[in-house]
This record gives sequence, structure tokens and C-alpha cells, in this order.
Amino acid sequence: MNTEKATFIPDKRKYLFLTDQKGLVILQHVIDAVVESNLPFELVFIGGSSEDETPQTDVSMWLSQQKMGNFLYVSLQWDKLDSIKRLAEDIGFSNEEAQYIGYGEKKTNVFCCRCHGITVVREKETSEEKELPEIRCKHCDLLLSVSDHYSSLRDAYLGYVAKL
Amino acid sequence: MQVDELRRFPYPFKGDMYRYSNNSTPLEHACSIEVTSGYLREIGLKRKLLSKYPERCYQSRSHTLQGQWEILEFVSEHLTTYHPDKFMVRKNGNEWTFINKLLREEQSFTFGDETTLPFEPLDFIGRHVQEDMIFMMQRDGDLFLDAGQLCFPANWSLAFNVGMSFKEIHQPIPGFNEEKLDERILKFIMQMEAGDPWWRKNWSLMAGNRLDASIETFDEWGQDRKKVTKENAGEFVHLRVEVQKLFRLPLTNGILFTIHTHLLPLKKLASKREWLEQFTNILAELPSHIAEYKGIVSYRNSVLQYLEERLKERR
Ligand SMILES: [Zn+2]
Repeated sequence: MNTEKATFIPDKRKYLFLTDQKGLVILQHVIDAVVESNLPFELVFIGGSSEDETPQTDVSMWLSQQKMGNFLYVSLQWDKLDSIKRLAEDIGFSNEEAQYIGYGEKKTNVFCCRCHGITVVREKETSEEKELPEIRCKHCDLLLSVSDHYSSLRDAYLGYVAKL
Repeated sequence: MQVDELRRFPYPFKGDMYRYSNNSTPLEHACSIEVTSGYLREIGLKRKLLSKYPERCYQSRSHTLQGQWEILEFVSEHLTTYHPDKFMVRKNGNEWTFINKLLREEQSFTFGDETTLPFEPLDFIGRHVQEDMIFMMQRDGDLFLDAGQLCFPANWSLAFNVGMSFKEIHQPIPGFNEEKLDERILKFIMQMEAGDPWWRKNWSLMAGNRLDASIETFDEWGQDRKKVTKENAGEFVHLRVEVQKLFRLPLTNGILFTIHTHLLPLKKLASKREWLEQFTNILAELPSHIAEYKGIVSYRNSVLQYLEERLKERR
């Protein structure tokens, strides 16, 4: 599941960490807990400088080889997190077997209820506010209130008429 | 005429309160469509909307064509069986001619070959019936809205919902998930068998009399909610009822969901004492989260005042 903060889930067969430099900091306390408990783990690094970047095909291979009962932690920038999450889900990691922690600027697509145009909204990581503000559709200029109704086909949230 | 309209109106209520529930019952008269006196007007409106706003009114995923042909055959069968005076199909092997006598139209095509039709099969047959038609496909223990023709929606977007699973579609309904109604209804539909159709009625109130209450035009028709007063509610506000019918399609194992929308001005509803009393009680008691979702909150009091005045007159 998408969470704000990584939490250590005890008693798993093995722990898998998929992250980059910044994500490593976010996951550090979980890694510490795993090490402290003497549990097996693997860590795969992606991103950072181009030489040590692990291509997605290798990540896919690595995830596919994992056995049932292994627990996955992923921490990446929001825009990279989504594709990895989809990959992991396709491979068979359920919401109960993984945690995904994004950082940085989050981009949200908003589907305009009136014209069907997509407006990209950037959420700052510092933003404490859960509720997205009202936004203006960049195609038809309608003021939209962004709902939590999500379409994976459109990869977007539905924006409703904000003011009648 | 008025008596007939009241007699035919699919009045949806039982008891003195309303809650969300799986209120489906077996459909005795196993016909997916109904032809009413509004046929010509509504087909005209439907076709106008389809040509003007194709994306809003029609969506299909590429893997639905086989299912669409099954729907075309299924609905044609109903049309010609239950309304032989209005519809006919001539078949010579796969060479079909569909004849609509009400519209004086004929379309010849090769069954299974969509290049011989002017529209996709679901879009074609949908242009001959008053119903909106939704096609849900079943896979991985779930149902997905993979195609639909929707001209008269009750404030939702087919273009946005296409491809969604059953629970994703119903996510915006408050309390639906918390009460596990989505799960229960999904299970119920997945257990449906071919030859055993079900139906239910869904209702809301509508300020104005538009059949096309699409979310895409809510900024226009939603304004009408502000115009409701206790003086005009009888003519202006309508009880909107959707007759929804569910069929399991035997070949593709999908679900065909037909929606026939009916509107009745409150004035006519109030002319029937039983309905007037019952609906007044239901509206007065309706929990706020349901009233909110149905978009009634801003004018509920005006409507209630109108209904109570009618009740007083009758006492
Ligand atoms: Zn727009």
C-alpha cells in the first residue's frame, strides 16, 4: 500500500528493499530493525548516477524470482514509484505484501468532468494538506474540485464542478 | 393519457423509508427493453447526443467486440419477440437485415463483421432502444465496465468510468463500501446465470426535466436546483426513476445492464394519495448522506413544503 512512512512488519520470510539514495534514508529505520532482528534481506539500488542504475527489466526479474512470504519495501520519487508499483502488482505482490513510500513532488492528473481534458497538478512534499485544492481545468477553464475517484485507465482523478 | 402515464410509471418505493440495499428481484418478463410512447422523441434525442458528443455517450474497449455482437443479437431477439409489430430481423446465414418499422429504417450487415455496420454493434443496437446499455465483462473474480452507450446518465461519466472494476465505479457513493454493499452486490451479480435476469429501480429527484443529466453538463442543469420553490416544485421537480435490468450473456459470460430512465413531475405523483403520503415520509426521513449524494439537499425543504401543502389539501 501507499503509505506516508515505512513501518517494520515483523515475522516475514525475507525483506526486499528497492530504493535510491534518498529513499534509503526514508527506509533506514526499517533496514535497521531487520538487521537487528537478524532477518534475511536483499537491497536493490536504482537511480542515482547512471552507472549503478538497475534497469527495469532486471528489477522485474528480481521481483519475479521472489517467493511467497517475502515483504517488499519501495521508496522512490513519486513519478518513478507508480511504475514500480504497477510492476510489482503485476508480478503478484499484494497490498499486504508491500509498502510504497514516495517522496518529492507528486504529480496528480485531474480529469475534467466537463471537457475530459487532463490537468496536471503538482503537490509539494511539504504540503501537509491531504485534500487537493480546487483547480482550474487548463482546457476549458472550469473550476474543479478534485475528488478521490480514480481511474487507472485514465490515470487520473475526477474533477467535479466546484461551484455552481 | 395522464392515467396511463401514472399507471405505467415505475414507482420505486416500498415502506416509509429509503436506504441503499441490494433491492434486485427476479425479472419475470425477461425483456431487456421497453418501448414507450416517448420512443420517437427519446431516440431522436439519443441520436443527437451521440453524434454531437460521441465520447461522452459511447465508450468501448477493443476486446469487447464479440460481446457487443452477442448484445446485438440478444437485444434484437427481444425486440422482435416482444414487439414483432415494430421490429423485424431477416436472416440468411450471417447476412442480416434489421428493420425498425417505427423509424422506417433498414440496415443490412454481415453478422460478426463490424465493417458492415455504420457503428460498433452495441452503438448500433443502442440507437434503436430508449435504454442506456452497459456491458460489464467478468474476469479475475471481478466485473469491469468495458463498453457502454450512455445518453441519459444520472450525473456520472462513462468516459471516466470506462475500464473500472465494479467497486471502483461505486467508490463515490457514501457508505456503500463501509457497509460492504459493493462487495455483496458484486457477489450477487457474479452469481447470476444466463436465463435468470434480475431488475431493480433506482431513484433520485431532478430539478428540471432533462433526461441527459450528464456530469459533463452539470454546470448547466445543476443551476436549476437553485430555481426550485414550493410554488414551482410540482411542475418543475421530477421524480427520476431508472429501471435497471441485468442479464447474464451466455456466450461471453458478460453482464448486460440496461437502464430505462423515467421522469414524473411531482404534481402527478401528488395526484395519487398513497404515493404522496409515502414519498413525503421518505423524503423527510432521508439521511443526509443519501440526500447529499442524490443532489437533493439544496431544495429538499422546498419540495417538502410543496408536498405537505398537497397533503393538507387532501385532508
Ligand atoms: Zn475542462
